[in-house]
Amino acid sequence: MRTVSIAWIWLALVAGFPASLAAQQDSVPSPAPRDSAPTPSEEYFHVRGLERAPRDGGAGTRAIANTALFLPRATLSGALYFTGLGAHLVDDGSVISRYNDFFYFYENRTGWTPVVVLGSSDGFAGGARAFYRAEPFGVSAGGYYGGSEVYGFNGAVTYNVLAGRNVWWFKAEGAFKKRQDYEFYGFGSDPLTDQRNSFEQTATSPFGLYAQRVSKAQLTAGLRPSDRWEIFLTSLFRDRAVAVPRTSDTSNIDQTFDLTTVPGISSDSATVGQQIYNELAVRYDSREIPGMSSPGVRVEAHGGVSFGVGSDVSRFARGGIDAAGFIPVIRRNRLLVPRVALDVLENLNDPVPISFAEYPRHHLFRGESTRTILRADNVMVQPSLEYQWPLSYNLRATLFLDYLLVARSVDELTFSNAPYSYGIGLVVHGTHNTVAAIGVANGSEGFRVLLTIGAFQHTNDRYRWD
Amino acid sequence: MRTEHTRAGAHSIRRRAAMLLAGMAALWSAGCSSVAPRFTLDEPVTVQADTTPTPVPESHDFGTWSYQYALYVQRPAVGALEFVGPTPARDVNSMDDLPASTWFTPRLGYREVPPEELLRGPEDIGPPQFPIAVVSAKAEGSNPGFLIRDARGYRYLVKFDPPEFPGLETTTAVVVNRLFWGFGYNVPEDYLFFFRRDDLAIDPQSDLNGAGVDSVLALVAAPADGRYRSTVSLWVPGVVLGAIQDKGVREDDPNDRIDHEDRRILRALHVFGALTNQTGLRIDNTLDVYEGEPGRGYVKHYLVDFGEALGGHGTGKGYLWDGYSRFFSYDEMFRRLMTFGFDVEDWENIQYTKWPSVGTFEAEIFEPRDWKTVAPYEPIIRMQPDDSYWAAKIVGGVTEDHLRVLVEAAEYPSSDAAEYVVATLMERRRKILVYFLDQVSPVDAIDYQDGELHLEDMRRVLLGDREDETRYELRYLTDDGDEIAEPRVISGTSASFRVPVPSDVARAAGGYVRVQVVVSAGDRSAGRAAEFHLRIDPRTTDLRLVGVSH
Repeated sequence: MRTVSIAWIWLALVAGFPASLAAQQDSVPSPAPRDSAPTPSEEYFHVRGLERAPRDGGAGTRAIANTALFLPRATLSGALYFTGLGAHLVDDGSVISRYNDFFYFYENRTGWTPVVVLGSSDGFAGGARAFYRAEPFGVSAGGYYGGSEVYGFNGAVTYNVLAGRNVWWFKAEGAFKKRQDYEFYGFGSDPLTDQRNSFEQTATSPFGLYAQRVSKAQLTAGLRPSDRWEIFLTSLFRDRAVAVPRTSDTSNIDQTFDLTTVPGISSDSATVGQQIYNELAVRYDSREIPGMSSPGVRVEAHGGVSFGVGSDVSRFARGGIDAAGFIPVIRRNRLLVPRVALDVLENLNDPVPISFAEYPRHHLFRGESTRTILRADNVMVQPSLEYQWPLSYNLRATLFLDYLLVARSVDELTFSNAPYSYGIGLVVHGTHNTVAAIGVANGSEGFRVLLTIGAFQHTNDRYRWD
Repeated sequence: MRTEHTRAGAHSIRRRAAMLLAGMAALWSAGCSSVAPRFTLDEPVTVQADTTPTPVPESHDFGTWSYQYALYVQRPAVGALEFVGPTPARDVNSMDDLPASTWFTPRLGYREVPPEELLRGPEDIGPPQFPIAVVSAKAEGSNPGFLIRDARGYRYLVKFDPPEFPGLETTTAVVVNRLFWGFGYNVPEDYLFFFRRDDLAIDPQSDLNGAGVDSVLALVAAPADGRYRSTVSLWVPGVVLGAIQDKGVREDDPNDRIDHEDRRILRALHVFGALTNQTGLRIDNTLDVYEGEPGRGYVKHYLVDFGEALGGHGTGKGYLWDGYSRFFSYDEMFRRLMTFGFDVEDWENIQYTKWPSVGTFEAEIFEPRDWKTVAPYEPIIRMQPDDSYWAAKIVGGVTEDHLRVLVEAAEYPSSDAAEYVVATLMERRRKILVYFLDQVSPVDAIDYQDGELHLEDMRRVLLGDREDETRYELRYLTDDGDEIAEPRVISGTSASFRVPVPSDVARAAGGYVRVQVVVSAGDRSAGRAAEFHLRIDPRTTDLRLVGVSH
């Protein structure tokens, strides 16, 4: 019955269309009443002085093609009309006004906004964020929820000072994040053969799922003494609990590993570690317009010490460097970007092992989610080579090749068996920020779709150890 | 009852299906052959009757997001499922010319326009008279500015140069405003205007204060000798109705009966925009204004905001691609994606000139065919060769003397810069004429007398070509395209020539004859033929020129 109905509608639309089309064809207009305005066709014939309108040879073919495409065109047009209403609403001042009234109060100093977390590794989560601002102070608090095992909260107080050309900012924030689908593959560049890993004989998965709850309080001071230099001083208290997930998944970490060999987790209860971490980071960026395709160099170095609090007696140091060159090839805006990021972890209290969750994270490697600890060891190096070229003013394309190397020490690093990833991406950017990125990657860990939405503040990225 | 209903339905479907097939067949058979126009004996319309008194139409705000959505989502998607052929302009008279209207006033290319007249341009009220007072800060546009009121109560928009490029936009605004007036468009009165900070009072009605004024002035080019350099644009008198849509008509204006995308006056903006590099030809730089007492007036159509032409837009924002590429184009992005950036486009070689007041304006890489507005503009997309030919003839009316007077009035900070602008505009003019005149057979009719059609080669007239002989291949056709006399070839080097069209030939063809002319010279050949339609006038029993097409 539905088929018959649709067929009838299609025929009715299409059969009626040639008639309407024919009516639109120019023909000798009939005389119009003196006191009425001429029709468009009459106007055309009168101004052009025509008895007969010209027609080109392809008109018939086009009319037939357009007739055949009428229904899909009308359908698409209708669909786009409804999606276009969003643009109309934005243009409609009263809608914007109502939006503002709904979300902002007290002369826009305070308000709230909905939050959507969408990412290829995070899935979907929704929430809200409230803020209050009275320059130079700002306060915000927010949270998101994507199911009983994916949720988080954060809050921050910021203070910005413009002192001459120097920009100072201070930020105090707290956050809570919990989920139980993190993946750990073991230590070493080849976890399956590394002696430090003891896999259960009944293991069905190369990785173990673990749950993690992180609460943290962080103070950050930032200084931009010039356009090219930025300095960050971060002090962080973190309470991290790591446990076996409360699910019966066969990939759970206790099903994959002999947990007595994995530091920082036990099968009985959550292992809690409390650390205070202090870090100094310095960044130099010589690019004129960092968000755009702009030649130059960016180097960032960081070093910090972390020590346990209360029953946590572990101590370690972190250090690293992240250097990238933006080398123009062909033209100034086609860039070859070799980049290398080195992270080193050093145990300062050897008798006490460091929790596996504290080892360097591969936040740059595009072959696997940041939810996964694909490789872990004292030294991690992420070399990559990227080629960027512009597609339009705010859009560029990238071709990339990433490697992920780990080892106990720098001299043991090798590309042998190292995970790699290559792919292509599109990046929407402003003058200083990346706004959104989409891409596809393939490599040793398989095919992956990369999707990131949101403005990434390049002055606010001291979070990488979570 | 139900059975009968079903039968009736089935019969209806069959009937509609038959209608569909019949309609398609009719369209196919009717549409597969081209048909030439046939003209009446009426005199050409030289003034279009579009000033009939109307009620005041509704004002519309320009919707940036809606417009962008239509440009970059809706139209490309729906347009991919629709085949649109070459549609002739519909505001053209029988002589392939544009009648005067609320859109167009014939000036350059139609008569001798003395440079002084071009310089006066739209002047009526004149520049502001002191004392002046700031009414509000300018919110629209990318550059900061003010709305001021002068001693007589007239309101003006005040715009400035970017700090890094003094003289860039304030020179351009005057030169290009006057040129577009010369091309025949309605434009506001724009003037170069100097003032001191102390000249700016605050209008009593304004909620601005001195600090607000200073904060705007802090963002513009610094004053020289204590005087700020600005462009003032007189607030167009009348009821401002909003932007001119680039498709369809203004539904509540009975005088607006021709779809805007089919108006030659708007299509021709490609040519005028290419000359002046006015890449901001988009609907928010157009304006409908109701002039006259409510109920007794009518809508007049304006182009506004010329300050970012020449090098203005590209230079100020660092857009080297301005005029050569679009801000956002699926075609260009796809091509660049597929070529991995290895395809270096010509505009990437453009260098800044040494004059901040000129920026990147140039004529060497410029190609009239490839010139682009920042955003797609529907009438330009629909432009046909006869539209660009008409516009090129108007561009041909621009002389070096015109340009010298304009750049002098614009007070370029450097005389070398002024010379460069004149030379660059003249070179762009030459390229435009060479390219667009050759898209058709560039021949116009002077008259028909004594059995001869007197024709003029506009390429020779406008470019002064001294090259080899030009060949004019002539065919005599009935209005249905049948040959009625032996084809002829005329060769020559003069700008005008005569073609015999004996009236007995026309009589034998039912009193109507089409003379088709195809022009070629050396290795170049015109894109398409020019046609001159002659018809026996019963009153004189002689042939009369009744129609022209290119």
